[in-house]
Amino acid sequence: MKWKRAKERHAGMLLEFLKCHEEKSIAPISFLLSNKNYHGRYLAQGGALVQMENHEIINAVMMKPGFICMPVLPRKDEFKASIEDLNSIFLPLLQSVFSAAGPSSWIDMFCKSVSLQPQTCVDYDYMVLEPAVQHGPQEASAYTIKKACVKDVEELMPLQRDYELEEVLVKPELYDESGSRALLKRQVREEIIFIALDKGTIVAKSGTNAKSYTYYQIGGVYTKHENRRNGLQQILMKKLCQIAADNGRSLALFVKPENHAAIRLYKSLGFNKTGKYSIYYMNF
Amino acid sequence: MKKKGVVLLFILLIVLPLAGQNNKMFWKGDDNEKTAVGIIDNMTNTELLGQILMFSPRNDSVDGEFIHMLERNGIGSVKLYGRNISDLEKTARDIGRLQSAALNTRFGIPLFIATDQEGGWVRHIKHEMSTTPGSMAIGASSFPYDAAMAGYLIASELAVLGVNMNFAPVVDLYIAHDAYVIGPRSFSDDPQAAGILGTSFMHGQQKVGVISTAKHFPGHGRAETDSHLVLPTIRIDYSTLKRMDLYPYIMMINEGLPAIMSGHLYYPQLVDSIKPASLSKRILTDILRKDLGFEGLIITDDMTMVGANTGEDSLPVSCRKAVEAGNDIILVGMTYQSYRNIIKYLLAHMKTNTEFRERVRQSVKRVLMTKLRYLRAENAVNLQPDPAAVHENLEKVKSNAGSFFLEQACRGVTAFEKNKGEYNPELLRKSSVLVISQFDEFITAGRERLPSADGLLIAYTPYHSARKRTIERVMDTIDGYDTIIFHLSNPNSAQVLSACSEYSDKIIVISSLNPVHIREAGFDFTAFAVFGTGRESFAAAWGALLGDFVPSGTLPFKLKENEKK
Repeated sequence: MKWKRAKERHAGMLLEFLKCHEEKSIAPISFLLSNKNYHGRYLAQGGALVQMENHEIINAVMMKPGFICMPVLPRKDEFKASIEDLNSIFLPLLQSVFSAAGPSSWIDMFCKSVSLQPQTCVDYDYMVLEPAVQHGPQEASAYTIKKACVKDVEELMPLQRDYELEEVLVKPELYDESGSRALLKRQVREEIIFIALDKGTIVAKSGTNAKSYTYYQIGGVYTKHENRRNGLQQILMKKLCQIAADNGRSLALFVKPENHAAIRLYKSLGFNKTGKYSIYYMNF
Repeated sequence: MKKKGVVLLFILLIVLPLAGQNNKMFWKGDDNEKTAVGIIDNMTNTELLGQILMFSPRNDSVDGEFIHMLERNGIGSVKLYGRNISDLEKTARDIGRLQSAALNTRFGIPLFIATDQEGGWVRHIKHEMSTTPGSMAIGASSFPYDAAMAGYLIASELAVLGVNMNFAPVVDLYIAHDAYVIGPRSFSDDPQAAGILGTSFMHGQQKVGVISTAKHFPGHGRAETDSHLVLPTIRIDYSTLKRMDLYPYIMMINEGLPAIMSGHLYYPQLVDSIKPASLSKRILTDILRKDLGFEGLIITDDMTMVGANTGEDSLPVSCRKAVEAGNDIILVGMTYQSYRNIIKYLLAHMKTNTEFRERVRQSVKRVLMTKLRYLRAENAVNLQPDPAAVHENLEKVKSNAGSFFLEQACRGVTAFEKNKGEYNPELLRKSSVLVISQFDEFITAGRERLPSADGLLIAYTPYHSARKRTIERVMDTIDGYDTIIFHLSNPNSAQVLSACSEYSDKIIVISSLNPVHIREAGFDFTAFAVFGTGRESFAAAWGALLGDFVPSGTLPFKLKENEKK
């Protein structure tokens, strides 16, 4: 089955397809739904590749600005890019791809099929809390907890930088301060980010970075080193659980398998590991 | 002895649940109102909520997980999409299993099993089910008899499988001609015609116990976009809406319409914030319930469509708003995880919000009253359809239908203004003829009548435009023929046809599905519309071409000669 670039008119079909694999495609759904006034333009520019059978999409690869590609390959056994597909569709697009992210088996299959050579692979455990449960009343704390707003962005920047350097970026020279600030500004506006303040200073953050029909994806969880081991993230995460429960959403997150402290926290909140996730980095 | 024991056990296993069924509350008492109230007063929140939810299975079969979820949460309705059907025997068996699971719950309340079998273009269950000429063909003949018989036969086929609710008829008025998604699914752009034909279709379905659902309230036929993809905006004031789009509903409500589907359509002049009609209390409660006096079921269109997901809200929150707006059944076709989230969220809301719980109870009463009225009736659709007899029973329906669909298709054939009364069928017999179509069946049907004709099959996809090589192939071929029968069925073939406009005097166009596509090619052609794509519609087209009868249909909407896309 041939691959093709999705056009504007495929938007509905694409969502129809993605919604059936919601747990594994929160970010792609979030992107399409939140950009629905623009998804026509996004698709018109070839932002998604699809493989069709009987007028239905059976596999897809979503491209996000910033050159992250997110394959959604529930029928990965049938994901075979022909030489023709490779030359005409994948190669021109993938030359600029910086990373591929998604469930490990999909990413693995995808990179092999299109001969992408990753320079680094980072593995994550995928954990979900389903459905989000209501926790008891907030216990008293020495910290102030509140939702971040745009005027907090400057003060959040050092935490964001340390978070990216320690948890996300595979090379420190990839840190891009202005890009990072723009992203944080957008997230503060469109997502839910909680911050903890100690005597007026921000010491920890935690929030969502994507939402689909019934999920929030959690990201950007970071506590300053000197404030760790104080149960701060537990308070922030409980806030997010509460918000999720109030919205009827489940929570999903990625955590590095060696981050035992975080995994302990997530487990204590009721999260279960449901799979493995990978990010493969290319071209840097 | 051992064998006998097994047989006895087998019989007991079959008989016991059936015997038990009659003892359960749903099946007791003659007074529907009393039975419904009796059940509701005994229901837990979970049982109440379940009755207002309509979910669909994941794949092409009903799996254990779905049945388990259905039993545990007392889900009241199941929607079957095309993706849920692989063969009809299996569908009948699956429906039997679903109904058994429902009958085994505390009150023995059977399920609504729903699908979209509008006839013509949209039919979610395919395979051996009839491809009928469709609503617009009925609008073209405009005989209520055609609508009633179509409803009766389509519903008879559904009943063979155990489907007891049909999301049809479509009573949208085809007013915005760019509303491709409605097009041939509509009877007419005339409110009275749509009302009379919709009512007749409903009575036809009612005869065999299938519940009619008129849609898409208040009206999708003015939407220039598709609510699957965006939230369409319709700028119209209430008095015009009531005089036009709502008229078919008013008529059908008077005739006992059991259900209406609410559409994901935005009416800025009627609501105070950006939200679809399906989530608007003003439109569903103030207008539909109070002003139009509708007491039947209001069912949402699928809540996962983009038109229902335009804001920040999660799917469970949108479902809550749909209930608050006045819907009685919330339709969601997604993952089992999403169903669990919706149930959990709405239950929590019922617990803490008495007004919301009361709203749910009202809806459950309507659901139960409709179930009692239809599913306990003498002509009720069988809850345990016999899978082994599916093919035989479908054949029976079709043989009872006799030549009805062919006659209906013939009555619907419509000559476009230009060539009314001028067409000479003798032309075809005397010349060399090429048939160009996107449907192999159309060419085959033509060659049965005109064996000397040649055929040229062109691709149906891509839907919106034709490939260059297709156009080139057509242009290379038509030179050698005296007469071309060009079968137009989507924007793709319209583009091919417009490339051939210099040959317009030797081309005769047969239009299937939406006749509006001809405007892209211009109006210089001799052209007939047949609307359908089934065997009968194609036979009718060839009958008209060869002069078996003079087409007498009337285009059921105003297509202006100068109308350009």
